[in-house]
This record gives sequence, structure tokens and C-alpha cells, in this order.
Amino acid sequence: MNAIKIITVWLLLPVTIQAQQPDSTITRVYKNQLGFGLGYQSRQLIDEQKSALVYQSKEYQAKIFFNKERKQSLFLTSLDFSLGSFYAKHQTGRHLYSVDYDIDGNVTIDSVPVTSGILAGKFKITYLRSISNKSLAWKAGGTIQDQLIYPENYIGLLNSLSLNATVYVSKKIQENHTVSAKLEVPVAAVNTRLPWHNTATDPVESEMSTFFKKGSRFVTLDKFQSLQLNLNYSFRVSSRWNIGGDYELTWIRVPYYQPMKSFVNRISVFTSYNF
Amino acid sequence: MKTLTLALVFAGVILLGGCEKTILNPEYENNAVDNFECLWRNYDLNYGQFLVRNINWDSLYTVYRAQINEQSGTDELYGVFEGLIRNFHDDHVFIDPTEPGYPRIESGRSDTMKIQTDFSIEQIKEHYLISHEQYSEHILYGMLSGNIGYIQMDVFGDPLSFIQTAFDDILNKLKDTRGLVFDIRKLEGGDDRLAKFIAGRFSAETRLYMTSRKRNGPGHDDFESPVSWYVNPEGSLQYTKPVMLLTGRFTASAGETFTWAMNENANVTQVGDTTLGAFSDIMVMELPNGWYHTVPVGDYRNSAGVNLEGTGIAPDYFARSTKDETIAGIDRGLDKAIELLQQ
Repeated sequence: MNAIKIITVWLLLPVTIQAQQPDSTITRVYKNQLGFGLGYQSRQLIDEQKSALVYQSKEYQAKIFFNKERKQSLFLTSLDFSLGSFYAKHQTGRHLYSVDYDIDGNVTIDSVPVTSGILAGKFKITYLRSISNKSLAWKAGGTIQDQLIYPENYIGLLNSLSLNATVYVSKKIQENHTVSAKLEVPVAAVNTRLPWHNTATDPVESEMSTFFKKGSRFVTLDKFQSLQLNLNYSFRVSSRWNIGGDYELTWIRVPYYQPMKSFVNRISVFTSYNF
Repeated sequence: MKTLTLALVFAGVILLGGCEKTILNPEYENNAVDNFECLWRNYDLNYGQFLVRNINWDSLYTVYRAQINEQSGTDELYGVFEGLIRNFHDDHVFIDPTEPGYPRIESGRSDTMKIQTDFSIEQIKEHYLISHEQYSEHILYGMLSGNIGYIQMDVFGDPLSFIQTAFDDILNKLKDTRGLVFDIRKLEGGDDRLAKFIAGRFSAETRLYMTSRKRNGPGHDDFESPVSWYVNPEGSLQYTKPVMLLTGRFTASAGETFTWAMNENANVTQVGDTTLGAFSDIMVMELPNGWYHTVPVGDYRNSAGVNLEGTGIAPDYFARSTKDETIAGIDRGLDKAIELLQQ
């Protein structure tokens, strides 16, 4: 409930501020936008390199972004993190049982529930050029993205630094409403997964360093397929403030060494400040 | 707008459609046959010791696959798994069912060797140590009579930075002793890198102690290039006076790679009983029914190129207490170690 209250207050903040602004300022146009969003996402994932089970997550997500618009181009950067629970979808309530024996052979059976968490994040820098400016404004360009999926149990562990082909389309509906869609497809990436044997040990290097050293490889479309679709709605509350919401779908398929597949549905709300 | 509408329809299909089946497309269903197939395949693709142990995995498939069908229940599957994995005779191979009433299925000696009767830290505290400190959950050190130091560890599980500080502290306190007993009879394993570092605190020169190579392909002889592990002087102070390394049947995994490393140090003598014989790193995997199982992925060898999986490292001096002796506070291994240090 506290989270809902905080989000509500935060969303209403621009509206409150707008009410205090003189009418003349709403017509001014600002080209830079700094924003903050909160969301919820659910991930479904299977990583046959470690498990035959379909995993699901419930993640809360936070995002900051900065957009800079020029006459013929659009520059977008964003950083988002999510954190949540991660569990086998059809095997909830699993327990691990341990049996201990003392010197006289007395047995103690203990059980612990199987639980896990997940941390994920994306950092993106996108540059888009205008290709059509009719009723729909089309832009195309590229994105450099680093994406991390870090489950506590290492099922689906992936870091992907990719170059994505990006297409963006937007439309202004009336004066203050804008809808947009963005589609990204990686064309090349340096992906880091656990090696075939799923371990990362080395005489000298740390596990993290070994993971990146032994598990990284350059891949193109045959070894890494992914798609990100973002649908966005933004409402200009005032010349300075916007609020809105977006939906994002991310699909990933890594066919090596054993296939890892994942899709994420995310909904979020945001507010942004124009300057 | 047409594009946006199409995109929204697409998103709706993804959201509402059968995402799991169409997009994730799991290879196995949760039935006895698929659970068996998945388990068999996980070992086939990843187990590192088929050749060392001379296991004909295809032939075992034929034998055990015939014993189940899609209608087989949990009891039958459990029994088939039990029969199948016992053929490894590998203490790093086990299956952990995640439902009550089905105990862990062991493959190696651990199945019949569950109770440690040759070691009791409480008896050592009461009958041997004249002073001691529990430095952390996993490290105890102290003094034995005759100016002999004592260190006991049960797992190599702490962060390296903690171990570095711990061994600076402990070795500074024990540096004036005439010798030292390092007791790892209850050490169940942990991080090989920690094992290497700790062995380096007792090392005067760089020496090769192990090579490891791990599976990297579907063939039973598909391995990465071997990695060489060297023990070399570590930290600000190395303890190079005589050290008795106390091992036993419960000394396992990283405890054994530690034993290999320590045995390369000229000042170290291994006393006690042969170690368990389970060296390799393991990967933990899950079956369609949610059960866990472990797969040793490596082929680990000592400096002479010998693989001791299933055999263990024999001590220089054998000494082991019976259960009655342990209960009575008599520790044959520790007695032997002290006797050797006093010579």
C-alpha cells in the first residue's frame, strides 16, 4: 500500500506544479527531457544449460532517462534496474531436505524452501535520425545497449553488450498527447554466459572475472536473437512536465550452448521534466 | 496509426497467448520418461569422468530406460535413478528430490559413510587444546601442549579477503610455535582458489600441484585446455616450519585439492586417513520434476598427472580413531601428528 501511495503522490506532483504555472509558459518548447519511471515486470525464462524448468519472475523496476531532441535527430539514454523474486513456475513450494547424523547415528532432518531472487538491468544509448515527418514521424538509427540478467541461482545468467538496429515512430494526438513505438533488434553483440560446464573457477581470477573472460563471445543474429518493443504514451501536463506510461516486451533467444529463452512483459509509469 | 495498431495487436498476442509453449518451448514434460531422458542427457553432455571411470553410459541408458514408462510413478522413478547413478561411484554425484519422503540419492561412499566417527572437535577442545579461539564460523585455532599450534577448518567458504586477514592474524599468533597441526578431517569442500591461497601460506617455493580440465562439448572426451594450478608463497608471512596435515574420509573436494597443494610443500606431512576422492567442480542442474542433481564436470589430476577420483589421497602416516576411542577423547590422528612434530 505504501508503494501505491508514493507512486500516486509522485504522479500527481506534475499536475500540482502545472496548476501553479502561468498559462503562457505551457506554449514554450523545450528540447531536453529528464525523466524517472517505476514499473512492474514479469519474466518467463528457460535456460536448458542449467534447468529443464520454466522460471518466472516478479520484478519491480526503476528507470531514469534523458532524451535530447534536435530538428532531425533524437538522442535517448536510459538506465533501468529491476529486482524481484525468481522461481520455477510449475514447481512452487519446493523444499530441499538435509539429513544430519550425530556420532551415535541419531538423525536430524531439516528442510528449507527453495527460493531465489533476480537482479536485472539495461543501459542504453540510442541515436535516431528522422526519415519521414508526415502524420507519423519515423526515425531510424542504432542503440548501444548493455543488458544484464543476474538470477541468484545463475539460471539464465547473461550479460549482453549489443548494437541494436532501432526504428522509432511517434504521433502527436492533439496538442499534449503523444504516442510512440520503438522496435530494437540486435545485429551484433558480445554475450557473456557461463561456459559449457556452467562453472567459473580459475587459480588466480575471481569468479566474476573468469565469467567474463571464459564466457564472452562475439555473436551475430545466428547466435543471438532478440527483440524489444516499446509502446509509449506521454501527456504534456505543462511546458515543463510530462507524465505517461509505457509497455515493453523483450524477447531473447540464445541458442548456445544449450538454449536460453526469455520474454519479459513490463508496464511502467513515468514523469519527466523538460528543459 | 496502422503500424501502432499492429504493434499493439502483436503485444496483445504475446501477453494473452500461450507464451510459454510457443516462445519458451520447454524440451521436457514432467513425466517419468522425460525426467529420465533429461537426467541421462545432462550427464552425457557434461560429466567429466566417463573415460577415467570407464563408464559405458549408452549401455546404462539401455538397461535403465527399459524400466520406466510415461505412467511410472515417483517411487519407480526414484528407484531407477538410484540404480542408474550408483554406477558412477562418485561422491560428487547425487540427486536431491524436493519432496518429502525421498532422501538424497547418493552415488559414492557417502551413502554408506554418513556418520563421522574418527573426529570430534569438542573432544579435541576438551582433551588436547590448552587454549583456543573460534576465529570465525569455519576457522578454529589454538595451542596444543609442547608449543604446537593447531588450526581446524570445516569449509573453504569465506571471501578471499577475509581469509587473507584471518591467516595474517592466526599465523602471526602461531609463528613462534615449533610446528603446527592443520586439521581438515571435517572439511567438506568449498572454493579451490581459497584452498590454493591457504596452502600458499605454508609454501616456500612455487610448485605445480594440480591440472584441471572441464567438459566443453558433447563428446565424452571434449575438454577445454588443461589449467595448471601452482602453490606459491602467499601473504606477508609464510609458516615454513613442520606442518602435519590431518586428513580423513570426510575430507572432500576443495579439501582434497588443498591436500594436493599442501603436499607439494616440503614442510608438510599428511597424517590420518585417505581423503574421500571427489575433486571436480560440480554443476547443479534441475529436472522437469524440480529435483536437483549434481554433475562433476572436470578431470582433475595431481602434479604427476594422476586422477584420484574415487580413490582419494592416501596419507604419509595412517592413523584413525574408532568410534569408541573418539567418544573417550582419544584422537589417534592427532596423537600421531603430535608425535611426529615432537621427534
